[in-house]
Amino acid sequence: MKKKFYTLKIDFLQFAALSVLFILMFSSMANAQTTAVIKGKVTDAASNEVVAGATVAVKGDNATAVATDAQGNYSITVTVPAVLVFKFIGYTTQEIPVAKQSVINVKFDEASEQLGEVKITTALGVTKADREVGYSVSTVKGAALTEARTNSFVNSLEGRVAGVNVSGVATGPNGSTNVTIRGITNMTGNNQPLYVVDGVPLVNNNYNTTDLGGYGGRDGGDGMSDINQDDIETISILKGAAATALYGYRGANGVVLITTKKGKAGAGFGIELNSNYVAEKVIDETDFQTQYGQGNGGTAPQNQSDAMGSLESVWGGPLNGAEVYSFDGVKRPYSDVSKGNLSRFYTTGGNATNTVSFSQGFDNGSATRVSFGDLDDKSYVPNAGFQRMTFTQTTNLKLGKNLTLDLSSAYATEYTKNAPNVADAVGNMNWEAMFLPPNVNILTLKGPNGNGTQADGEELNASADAYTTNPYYSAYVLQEAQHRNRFTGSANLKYTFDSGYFIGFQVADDYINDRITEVEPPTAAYVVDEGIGGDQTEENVKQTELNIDLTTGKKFKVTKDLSVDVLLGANYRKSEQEYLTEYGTYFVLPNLYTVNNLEFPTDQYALNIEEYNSLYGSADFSYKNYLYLTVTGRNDWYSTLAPGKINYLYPSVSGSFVFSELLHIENMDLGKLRMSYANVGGAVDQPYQTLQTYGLQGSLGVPVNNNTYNYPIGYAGGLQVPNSALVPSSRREFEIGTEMDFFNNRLTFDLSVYRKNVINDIVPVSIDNTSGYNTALLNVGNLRYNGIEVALGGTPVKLKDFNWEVNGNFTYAKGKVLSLGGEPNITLSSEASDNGASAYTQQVVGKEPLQIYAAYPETDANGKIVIDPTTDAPNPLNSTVKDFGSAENPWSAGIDNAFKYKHFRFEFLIDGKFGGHIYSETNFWANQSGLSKLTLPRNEAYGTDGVYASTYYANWGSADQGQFVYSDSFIKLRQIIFGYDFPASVFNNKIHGLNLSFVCRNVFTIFKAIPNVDPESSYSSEIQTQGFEAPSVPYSRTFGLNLKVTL
Amino acid sequence: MKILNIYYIAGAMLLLASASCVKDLTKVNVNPTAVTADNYDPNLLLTEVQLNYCGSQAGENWATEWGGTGEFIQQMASLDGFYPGDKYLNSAGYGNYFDQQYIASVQPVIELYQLTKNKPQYYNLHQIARLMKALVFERITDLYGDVPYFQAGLGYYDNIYNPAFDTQQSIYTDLLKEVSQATDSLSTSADYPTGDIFYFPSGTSQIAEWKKFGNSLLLRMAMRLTKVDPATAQSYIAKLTAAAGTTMTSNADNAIVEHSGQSDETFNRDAQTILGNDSSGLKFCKTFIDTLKINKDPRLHVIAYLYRNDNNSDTTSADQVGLPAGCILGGSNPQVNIQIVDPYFQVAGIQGYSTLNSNVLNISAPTLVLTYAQTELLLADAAARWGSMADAETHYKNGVVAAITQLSAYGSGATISVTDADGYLAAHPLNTTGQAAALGQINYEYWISCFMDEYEAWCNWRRTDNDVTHKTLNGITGEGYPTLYPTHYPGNATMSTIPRRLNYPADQQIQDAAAYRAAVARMGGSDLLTNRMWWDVNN
Repeated sequence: MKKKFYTLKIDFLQFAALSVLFILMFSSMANAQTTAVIKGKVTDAASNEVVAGATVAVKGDNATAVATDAQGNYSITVTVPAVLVFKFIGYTTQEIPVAKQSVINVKFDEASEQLGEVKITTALGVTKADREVGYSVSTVKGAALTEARTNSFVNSLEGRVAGVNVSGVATGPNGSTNVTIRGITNMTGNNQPLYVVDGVPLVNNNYNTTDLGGYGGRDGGDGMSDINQDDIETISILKGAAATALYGYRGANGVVLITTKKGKAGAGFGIELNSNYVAEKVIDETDFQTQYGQGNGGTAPQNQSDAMGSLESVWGGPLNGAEVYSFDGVKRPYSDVSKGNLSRFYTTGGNATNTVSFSQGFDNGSATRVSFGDLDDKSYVPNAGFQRMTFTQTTNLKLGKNLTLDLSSAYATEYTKNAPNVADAVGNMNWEAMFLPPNVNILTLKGPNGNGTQADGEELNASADAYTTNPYYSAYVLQEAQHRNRFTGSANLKYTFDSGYFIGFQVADDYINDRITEVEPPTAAYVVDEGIGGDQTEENVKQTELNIDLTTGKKFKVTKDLSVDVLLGANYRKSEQEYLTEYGTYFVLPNLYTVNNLEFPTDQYALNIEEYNSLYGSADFSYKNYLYLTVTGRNDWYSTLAPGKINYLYPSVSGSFVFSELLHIENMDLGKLRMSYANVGGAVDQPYQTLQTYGLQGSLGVPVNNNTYNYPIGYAGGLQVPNSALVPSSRREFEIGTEMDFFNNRLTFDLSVYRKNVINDIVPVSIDNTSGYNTALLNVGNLRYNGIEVALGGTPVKLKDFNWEVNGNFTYAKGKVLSLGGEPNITLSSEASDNGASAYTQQVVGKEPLQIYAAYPETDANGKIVIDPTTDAPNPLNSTVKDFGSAENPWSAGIDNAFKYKHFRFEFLIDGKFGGHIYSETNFWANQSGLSKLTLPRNEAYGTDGVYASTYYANWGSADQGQFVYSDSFIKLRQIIFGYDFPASVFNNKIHGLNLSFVCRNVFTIFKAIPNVDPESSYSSEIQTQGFEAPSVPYSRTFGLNLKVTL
Repeated sequence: MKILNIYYIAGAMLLLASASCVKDLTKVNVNPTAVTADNYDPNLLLTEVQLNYCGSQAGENWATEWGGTGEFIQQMASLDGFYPGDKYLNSAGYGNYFDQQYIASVQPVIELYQLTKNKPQYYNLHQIARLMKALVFERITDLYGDVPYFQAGLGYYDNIYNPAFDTQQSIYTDLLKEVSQATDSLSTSADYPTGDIFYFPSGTSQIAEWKKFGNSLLLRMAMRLTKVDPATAQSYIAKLTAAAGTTMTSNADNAIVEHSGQSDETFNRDAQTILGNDSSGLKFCKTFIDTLKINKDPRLHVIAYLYRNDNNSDTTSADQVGLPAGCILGGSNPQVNIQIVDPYFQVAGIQGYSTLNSNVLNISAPTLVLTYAQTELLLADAAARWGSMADAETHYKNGVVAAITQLSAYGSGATISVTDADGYLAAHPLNTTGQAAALGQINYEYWISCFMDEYEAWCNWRRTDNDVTHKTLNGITGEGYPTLYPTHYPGNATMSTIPRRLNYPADQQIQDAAAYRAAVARMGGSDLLTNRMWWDVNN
């Protein structure tokens, strides 16, 4: 592993060298200074009429300014290079760099915005003035993500955007993120939004190997942690169906548009440096009992065997300090040493990120920017880590007066070391670390080699159960590595005719190669027990996504007051995933972990291909400056759905009315009403579900007359019936909203109310197995969400030296499953049941999505729990399953405060989610093992059978598993930033900006209802596991410094 | 002009887009690691069906066959809850066959049937598909009674997701028709199916074998109607015996599936599931061992063994000990506590009882699907009932010798010489003086010949239990079916009678509720082990 990373470092140096060359090359293109006379004519783009009286000025030099004459002509003398600024009231200001041209003719577009008005990036990267947009779009500035950062920028969005539910997954340094926008759209499938970077849709598949039933596995991360936060200029989140309608089926879960930083034409050469270092420490949420130690029946271990047998049985005697046998036969004091076990095990991590970027803006309108980023996360999770290097470039070329070419590329190389096993006990370092009896110091589990092995290298078993792995062994001996190389590139050519028409052509490709290695050495106790002599998996995954887009359009001025902007486009998309896996058992030579050293290797190959064709179009009508209407349509042809049906046309209509233009309300800067309706299609997650296919499953060798004849064994289909009638699902959404800005934007208010209906959701319905199959994929799911989103922002205090800004958001979204094709429910997943836990989640007709069910004791006619007199506890065998509510949090809110005093800044973000539920296997297991405070007090005998406390509490725990379903509500102080902005004057303006800040993330949980674990501790981002908690990586707090330098 | 321009551009784009749409997206949605029906060789499915008929990985072999039927008819017994059949308790395992075989066998055999239908190049393969389909459904209905048949397995072809249950009578009517038509249709001038692991190598002899197989299967199905419709049974027998050599004529005609230790698919599923679960709990029943010992059956020492106290295995026939049926270890009930019921247990423990010899229970052991021995014994039964005792005697002789010598299929360790078989036959000649006595002897031999096909042994017992002579075992030598002594396990589900059918799996009540209720209503509203199915009419 180390060697591999060394070569990565070399690569980085090479890139750095290349980039310097690149910059120098472009820099040398800058012209030497000369004086020139520029002449030209200014006309109205729509009417071609001349514009008289327009101002033509040299940027940065207000002394040099002229006005156009009655014929619209002007003449100005400038020192090149320079940028000319053309201004006239009612028109959009234009800036045109002067290079070698002597004539610059300008066509003014009618201003669709007021000066200073916010621009919004909408679908397909089209920027519109805020007032024109008839649906809710939320924008987050990249700067908000870079100071108190997380490895994946997506995590930083948590709490910031109304209607967007972000939750990180507790699975290590490169864990995935679960993002749902306005609730779920697919009841059993993928609900992650589409991420688009500068017009390039990205692959965001999640390699989650965690078994959905909670039997362990790893989270291999998703596609978003490959993006360097320092490259992000803004993030625009399209939430409703109308906002995403132009993306068709791909936008059904919402769209996150990322605009990266770019060089600015005419801006010259610039360097930006960002350096961030944070330390990372585990947050110990546990609050277990510390009165009793390991043992059974109230007795401490009497010998080594007792100690091993009771490592997960905290039913011993009172901790009295006596010398008692440990798992290794050594006698140690029988007293509480539990506090600090988690921080003894999870050491302090360190995370360093450095980004340097160079930009060059040329005077002919071209610009370029390259950046290098390096992230090195030595995680607090022992022997785990995440390293990432990114190299990006964006170049915007102006080739003559009508043609532009935008080229962008991003390369990321990553190494994720030992993504931890989670959920179940096998190979999960977090399991034993969490459940150690209070008298056991976790450091004693290190063993003579410090890595959880015995002297001979075999796993040092602290527990009699081979399937409960020593945490040090899990961390240091089990091996997993994921190497990723990703290249994303796009080329966008746009030709604008003099008449105003444009034709755009874009090709974009995203290519990801992942190499995953996993080794279970023959020394692991559970591997010995399985008798497989160790095993290894080598998986090579290739994912590509190709998009080709052709667009055309023009803005027409129909009358003086009415104009229409027409856009037509066509898209071809191909997505491919190829998996080549080699797995084998029995290492022939010990300690040589390669697949060539495996005695029984097997190969597997899979290839998923999807192709789509789409046509789309939109027409934006604007009447004067207060009435706007957008109509869009999109038709998708799917390879994954029923063939031959092409009549899926998804419409959207949205409009906005800027009433503040008509009713001049005092102190109101903007008052807008908006309304939209859209119907967009949805697809299936996986290809190949419409047609029966046939294949081979090995062969049978039959001896005939001393020869062996091989009979290949066939098969037809799988357990799910192919459905050749699958049609797209549809998301139909009606949204109204208003936006009001007051007091020179010191108070802003944005409200959206929507109703979203999902119709014909494609769900796997259980069918009778006498049909030959277990499930059928049918278009039968219907779901509805009602929601309210409020964003309230303002600057309550604005003084010369002191400024206080506050931004708050509030979300309400409540869903209901309307029908499932006659089925009362669909089971999503159940928690691992071999630990005695049985809770499951279902989509249930008539209820909120993601209902959690758990065992509840038998009750009598009066609703009183029936107690079995023999044990004084309810009989678990008589328990029935009860609904304990939804895993979804219908309410959420966030508030961000920023104070500025002179050059000091102080910011803090508080966020919370409310009303959801979570089943905690950690708490269940802590109860069953006697670790939980619920298992106090302890009596010697319960009931007429005189059972010990362990039986009594275990009966209660098994019979009433509902007690381990908790409210998932929480309020967290998510982050604080304390910074100082050095004024440029300090550096004689040699440095344009220098900012140093102290940052801290996951500062403090202000409120939570669930004991012992973090309320956000889910172990996978899959919908099936939402609502479940099981031992996974405890949350961490990071704190450190961020330095940003602009040269 | 301007407006016109945009039309041109839009038109060009539409052309471009539709050109790309012409490319058939449907083809993209075919898994490149698999093929579609057009490019597939359905022979591969024949291999799959023939293997899966012998069981799947999912447990019908241990739970339904060995833990149920094999214990009902007292070939096997156990002290474990894992194999509950000798106690007549309800068990979820009885539903395993139903749950698994509709997926493992019905689905591929329907595919085989559909892919070969009306295709001249697969003419014979289609007839074999019909025979395999009949074979698969015969066992399902014989175990459970009314089951989905006409709509079953058509989830893909007809989008039938919750098939109706058909009456056993209607199923049998169709099975007889299908088997007789398919058999008659087999042609030596058409294709020789290559995926056939019952009969190989392919060629004209293969088709001849399938004709004999079809007719022998037809005989077995017709004989199932002994109780309910003897006239129909007889009419088929008359056709089948009109010419010599219609049914199987020697052990070389046996339909046998070879297994191998290569992969899950090729394993002998009995061995995989019994050895893979709890092999120590399954023992030979006292009834079976005692009978074979009394009759000095040469088969005993190749199919059974036990551990002696010195931990060496012992295959000597005289040393074999069977476990009394219906017992458990411990408890205070003297009728069921093995320690009280059988003092031998105190000496030898559970290890001291005979169990399946690795000759017959190993991962590569073959499965005998349909045999010449069964066929001859059924012909002997038919002759004894409706024909001449002389014919019955001939068929009995053929059947007994074949049943003993067919064990050579399990390899040299299980091979018994013809001399030994003749010796056994000489010691046990058919009693031709009385029909019931003859039938008792014939069906006793059938009971043993079906050893390792416990389903069939139980089916034939239910067909014949009324009209055969039984012999008690207590020291009485003689011929005839041994009395299967009913066990009296407390709380048993059959009022201490041997089960007459298996109840449906519990998930049917949820997945196919309406169809299930209709089927149960036809049985008088309850889904019991004691309900009699159509051909097992009580008369």
